Amino acid sequence: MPSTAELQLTSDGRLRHFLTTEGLPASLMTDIMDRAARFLGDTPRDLKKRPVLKGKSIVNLFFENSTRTRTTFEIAAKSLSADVVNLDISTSATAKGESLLDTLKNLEAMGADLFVVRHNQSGAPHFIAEHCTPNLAIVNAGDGLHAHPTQAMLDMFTIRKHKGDIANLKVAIIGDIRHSRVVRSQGHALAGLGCQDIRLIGPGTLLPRQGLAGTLYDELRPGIDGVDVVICLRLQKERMDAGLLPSEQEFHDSYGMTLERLNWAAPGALVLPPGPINRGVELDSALADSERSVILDQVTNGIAIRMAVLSMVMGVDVEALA
Amino acid sequence: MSDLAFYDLACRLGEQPTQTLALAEQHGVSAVLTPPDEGRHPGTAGTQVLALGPMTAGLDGEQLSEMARLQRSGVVGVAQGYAPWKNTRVQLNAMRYAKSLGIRVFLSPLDPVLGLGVAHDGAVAQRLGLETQPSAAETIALARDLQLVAETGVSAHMGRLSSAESVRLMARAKREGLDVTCDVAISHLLWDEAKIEGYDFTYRLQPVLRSQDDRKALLSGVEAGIIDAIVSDHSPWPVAEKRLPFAQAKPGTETLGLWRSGIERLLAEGSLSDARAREALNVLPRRLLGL
Repeated sequence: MPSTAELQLTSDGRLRHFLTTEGLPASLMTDIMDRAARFLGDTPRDLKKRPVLKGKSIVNLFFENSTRTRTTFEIAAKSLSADVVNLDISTSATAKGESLLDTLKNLEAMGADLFVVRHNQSGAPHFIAEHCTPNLAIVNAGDGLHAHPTQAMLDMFTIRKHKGDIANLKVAIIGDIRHSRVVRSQGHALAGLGCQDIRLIGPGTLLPRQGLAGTLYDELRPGIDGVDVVICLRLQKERMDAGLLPSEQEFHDSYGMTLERLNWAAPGALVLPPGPINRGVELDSALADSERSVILDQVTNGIAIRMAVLSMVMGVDVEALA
Repeated sequence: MSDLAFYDLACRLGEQPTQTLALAEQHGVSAVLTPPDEGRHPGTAGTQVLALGPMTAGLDGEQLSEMARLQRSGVVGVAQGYAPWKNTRVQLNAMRYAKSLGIRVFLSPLDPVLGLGVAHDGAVAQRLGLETQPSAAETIALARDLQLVAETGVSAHMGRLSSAESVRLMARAKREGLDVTCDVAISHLLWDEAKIEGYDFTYRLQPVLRSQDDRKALLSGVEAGIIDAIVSDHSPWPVAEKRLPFAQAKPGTETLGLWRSGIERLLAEGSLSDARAREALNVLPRRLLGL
């Protein structure tokens, strides 16, 4: 069976689906970021609309609720003049016991060109890409613990914009590494873009033993020592209930980022906070509100990245965006 | 090997028993032992069907089954499958009761909570973002089961071992003189965790496919006589229950058609000897089945 990395590329190496950053050639990641930059206007919140997907139909197929991600995909699709349908499947077909394959076959009859899929099962977008009709493209908007490739590309885009070539950077990622689909995609993207020093930091219950790109640290200080970028992952409250952590406060005491602790990193280090932040957990308010942490331009950048990905999997040439 | 008749200690007949038995016959399977959650079947001219009975009523893990009646009805032994025990005392009592009747217990060691993971706790599953199952899910249960065997003196057969550590535990138990045998599924001798790449639901199994080192240890275990039998663990689930995202697919796959070619491959590679293959596929299972 093809790996997810193989499944998403055409035989001549273009993006057919967008399922994972694993195995994605650096040239394609650079294309995504360069293309996203073209959609950004002169002011931080300004986006350039391009009607390149006029007449195309995009279905946001969300088996798991996520207003923020769905909204950015919707704005991205509409900014490219595509027709957009939002389907909240978690409360409809599959809840009645219909299998994913049955749901897929019914939706294919709608004649969509692209499905944006979010699902709580790792590999569900892969499964859909494998079983759907050949003229349908699939974009992964987050699957289980596996991948969230557009979020990772947004983070790469932001890092590149602020810190330059990713290959020369030291990057630390703090938090629930084990249960994060975002970190898996970030790790593959960073490694694929040549980053040699990736550090994954968290307590033993939130670290995988193997399988992810990067060096594992269970202590914050050596983990962020001298790094250029600190990515803080969102800490889900369910982790406390699952017996993985004693409390949010204890997590903050050991792994929470503060302006003071940021001094352990390289001078001018950048902080990427999670969206949304649990203030006083992943990072404290003073740091969150400082110029060292990038929050606001993430929203516009996120739409631009999704515009880039949607236009690429739909086969739009970069010249058409001029 | 082409003359060898396979006596299979673990084969599910599924929703279409006639079809499964036709397949068994076609592939030279002389007898199959069905799990405790399946109904009894008379068998066919070419393939005998023997059954395991439940250890607890309806496999509820709480109320002992009528083992004496089951024994009179001709079951080969009693088993709990992967259905959880309410507590260890019930299991101890069930094994004690089985001992008093002289009936063999067939156990499938798996911790019910650690066993919820859908793939081996290794690099492949971590990368794919699948809920993982450490080898300890099996070895914790196996160590407990072996201690209960020692405590009760019951004859026990441990089914579907998957890890190197389990082979070590079994070797020790045998050295200490416990009346235990065990088996491994052909799938676990042929495949490892790399097979789940691409979320291939065919390879969603219980126990999960573990590392290459585990697979090698299982093969050495068979060769050394620590693992007594090789089974098909054939599980013909309906397509609708199998063709799903990996974690949702029902564990188990269809293996009756591949045992002979698989064993021949292992013989050709030199990882299994002809004598041990014959013991593990024919002689020992026939003895446990009373044939």
